[in-house]
Amino acid sequence: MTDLYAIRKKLLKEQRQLLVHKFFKNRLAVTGGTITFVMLFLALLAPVLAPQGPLDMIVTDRLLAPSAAHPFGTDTFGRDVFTRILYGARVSMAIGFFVGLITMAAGMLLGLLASYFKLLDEILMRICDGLNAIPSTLLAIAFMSALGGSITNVIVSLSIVSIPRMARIARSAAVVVKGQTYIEAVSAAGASPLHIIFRHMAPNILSPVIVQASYVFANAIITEAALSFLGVGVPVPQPSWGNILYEGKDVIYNAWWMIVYPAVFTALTVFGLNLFGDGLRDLLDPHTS
Amino acid sequence: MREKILEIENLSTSFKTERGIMKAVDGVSFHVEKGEILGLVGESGCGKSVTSQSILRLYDEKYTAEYEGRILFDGCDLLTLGEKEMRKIRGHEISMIFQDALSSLNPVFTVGNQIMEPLLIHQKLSKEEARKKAVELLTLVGIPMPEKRVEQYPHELSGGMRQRVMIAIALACRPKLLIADEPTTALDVTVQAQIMDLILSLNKKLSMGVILITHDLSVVAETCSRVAVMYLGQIVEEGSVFEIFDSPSHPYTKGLIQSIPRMAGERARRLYMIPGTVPLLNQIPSGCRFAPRCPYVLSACRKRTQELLETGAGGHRVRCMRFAELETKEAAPVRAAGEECGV
Amino acid sequence: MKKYIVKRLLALIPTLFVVSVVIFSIIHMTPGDPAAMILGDKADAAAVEALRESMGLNDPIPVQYINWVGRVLRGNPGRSVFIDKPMTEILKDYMGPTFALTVYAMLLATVLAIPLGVLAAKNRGTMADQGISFVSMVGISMPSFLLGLLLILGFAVKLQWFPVGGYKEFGSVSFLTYIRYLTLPALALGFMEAALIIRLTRASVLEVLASDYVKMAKAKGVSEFALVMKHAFKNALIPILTVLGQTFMALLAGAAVVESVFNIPGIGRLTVNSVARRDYEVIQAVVLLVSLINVVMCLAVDLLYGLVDPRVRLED
Repeated sequence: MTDLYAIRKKLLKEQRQLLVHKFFKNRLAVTGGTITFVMLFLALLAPVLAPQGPLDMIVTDRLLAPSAAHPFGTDTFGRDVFTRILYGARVSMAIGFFVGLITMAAGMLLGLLASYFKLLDEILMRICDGLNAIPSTLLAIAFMSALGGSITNVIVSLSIVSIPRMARIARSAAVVVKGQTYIEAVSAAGASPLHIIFRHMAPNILSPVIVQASYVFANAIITEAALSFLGVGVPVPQPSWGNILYEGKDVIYNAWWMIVYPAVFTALTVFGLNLFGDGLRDLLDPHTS
Repeated sequence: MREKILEIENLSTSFKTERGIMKAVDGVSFHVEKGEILGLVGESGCGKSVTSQSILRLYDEKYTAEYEGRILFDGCDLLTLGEKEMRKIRGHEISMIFQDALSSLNPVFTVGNQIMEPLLIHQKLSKEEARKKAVELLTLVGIPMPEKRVEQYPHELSGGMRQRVMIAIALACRPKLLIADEPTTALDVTVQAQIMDLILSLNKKLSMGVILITHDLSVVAETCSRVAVMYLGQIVEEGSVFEIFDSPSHPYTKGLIQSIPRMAGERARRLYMIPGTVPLLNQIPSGCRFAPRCPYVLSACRKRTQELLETGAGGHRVRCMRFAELETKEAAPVRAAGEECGV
Repeated sequence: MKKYIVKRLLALIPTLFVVSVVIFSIIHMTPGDPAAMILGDKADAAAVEALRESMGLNDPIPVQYINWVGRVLRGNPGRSVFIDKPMTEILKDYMGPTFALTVYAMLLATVLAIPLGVLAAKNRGTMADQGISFVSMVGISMPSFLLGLLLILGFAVKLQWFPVGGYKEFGSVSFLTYIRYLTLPALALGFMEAALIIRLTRASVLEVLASDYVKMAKAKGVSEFALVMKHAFKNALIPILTVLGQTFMALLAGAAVVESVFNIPGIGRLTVNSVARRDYEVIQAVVLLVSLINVVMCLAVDLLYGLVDPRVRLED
């Protein structure tokens, strides 16, 4: 038994090394990963890199076109757009990260439990069906309207709308794992359901869950920007890509830089995350591609 | 000797894959005479299907496959034809029956539609004529209520009937050569016999050449006049069905024949198994390709590449350096087996 | 067929129950008293109490839920505190532009995307394929409101080919003008969905092209063109058809954001404006309406599926 366990561990290790190797051979995935890491880097180092504070207004410098002093120009209140985009990356990345994390944890938990307990499965999946029937952007807007604008509420709302799909994916993966002989063997050996679920099944459904989490991350960034753009996300004057666009829309005739730069950053980040996610999926979960 | 309708010379088919170029068929030569049934046998993965599909050039030449050698059909080399001329051969002069009728018939078109298609393409029939012909063809292949069947979809038919439909499609334009790739593998035993009977009777009635690809040697013994045995992309033995079953000279052929289940009376003997499995294409052994699994292997076998040699009369060819010794030593038990199978 | 429809309809009951509970709870998710939230900080206690009473907020929650469902079933899903009209009429007024925009975007997304997907699959690995794949990758990363803003900047502000925003009632202006107003919004809205459909079509056609029946068709002498257009396309269409319902819904829901970018008076803008006015019952009504359309859409697609794919027996 221990022998087999050691062999399995060794095989898994080799497989992981092979995956890492394959990942670096996948050009798209590497590009996506690089973009994502650059964005994370910019977000983390925003206070160091930014020439100003995100809320510093220089009233005389309103709506200045891009120049050496203000590489991305200034906004209606004379704030440096470059600085606000860097700080906006912090908001976007934090929201994407936490929504991804919460969704992954909750979705996995629900999916695993559903795969194991029949009655719970029925109830949870009906709830997921119901939540899925409500378009997620609208539901997020509705939640935000009731909860009020704040970063925490954005994270809560986006997590609620992303969990049903994640739970479904985790559940179907878990059902497959549960049907495999080794789970039956562990079960026959008298392991408790919770032990089986968390010790044996959870690690085996990670692949599709992680892939989905990368898409949730990307989607959260898009939706946050959209909510803020609509005025129901992160409240002004906090710097967020959606907020910059929201303010930029009013001066679209005078200040293209307030639209183009945040748009490019948002799209590029999402692009990077999507590529990264596709690469992960090709590696970890090839049958679904 | 009768007229040769197909003559393959030194055919090689390679595929470009992620792991490099794989030569699935390597220097295969054989011929088919008019009205004869040639059996092409071997285990799964030895290149039978690839050979047959190469004849019609079904593999995508732009991205994956590359052919070498010559495929002479009616004296014309198919490998030199353009795509348009090749299309005139496919389904018209040479037809093909595939292994799995369920996946080979298009699920979203009716049976009639699919039988009519080659008629519309090659014989330029009108829709009504083609439909009438389709009903006739269904009758020919023994499907009851053909008028009703032409309107049905493949999933509404039984497995045997689907296979009959495939045969009807293949025969639609009265081809000179029919390639049947494991036509009965996916079917029940009783249905298998019916389908083989059908192919046999049509072969006689229409005097078309048939290449029968199978791993079932008892079927070959009952139906074919000549047999080519393939292993790992090469032909290892070729000869008349009597030569192959009565005096198999290649150890691989011997193994295949010994592994046919016997009739009653000899049941006490354990079924013979060829040791090991067919290696993957990227692990082709050096020297004789069968050496690692061969019970008669000598150290010389692993060093020297073996050519396909004429053993004497009647075009019996073998790819084994020890064929002369083996033919005499091991002949007896094999002959007994062949007799009981009804050769 | 009948049995199948009844079964599907019965399966909708739990879904609709969950939908209704979620939408009902929106108003109760407000921190504190919804009535006070609606009336704002300066409202006096008597007015708040009067609103609480008229909204039925003093009843126990389950009673409120049952009353609300009852009102919805009678076709009266609440009352706007801002627009003095029955809710159904408000929804009808605002639904028109949204619907027009969605249909236009849907047309763009399918009529352009499906042929491009087929083209990419047919010429896989070539420059054309890589170009199409790149465009679709960009499309997937380009949220509609971003694209909308960039389109306004390029085609309305700089080139001035299209109006910056707004909406003209159908029939009140020439068809060309009507379309001119809707084109940029529809492009912005449809692009991401088009990108998804391109990718799906490409993958689907590629998969079908590798199938046995396409090989069989090739062995029959079918030309390359007919192979793709006849044998592969109809099969490849099946998975595409199943997502078209989702596409329509994504467009309908996405219209909320695009309408705000282009100042189109649809239900999306109504929702966003209602958020600012704390007009919760309007938000509830809109979310409910769109969810119901979604549910009906899913059912319709399921039934349609059986028509395209003869293998699906609806009796099962």
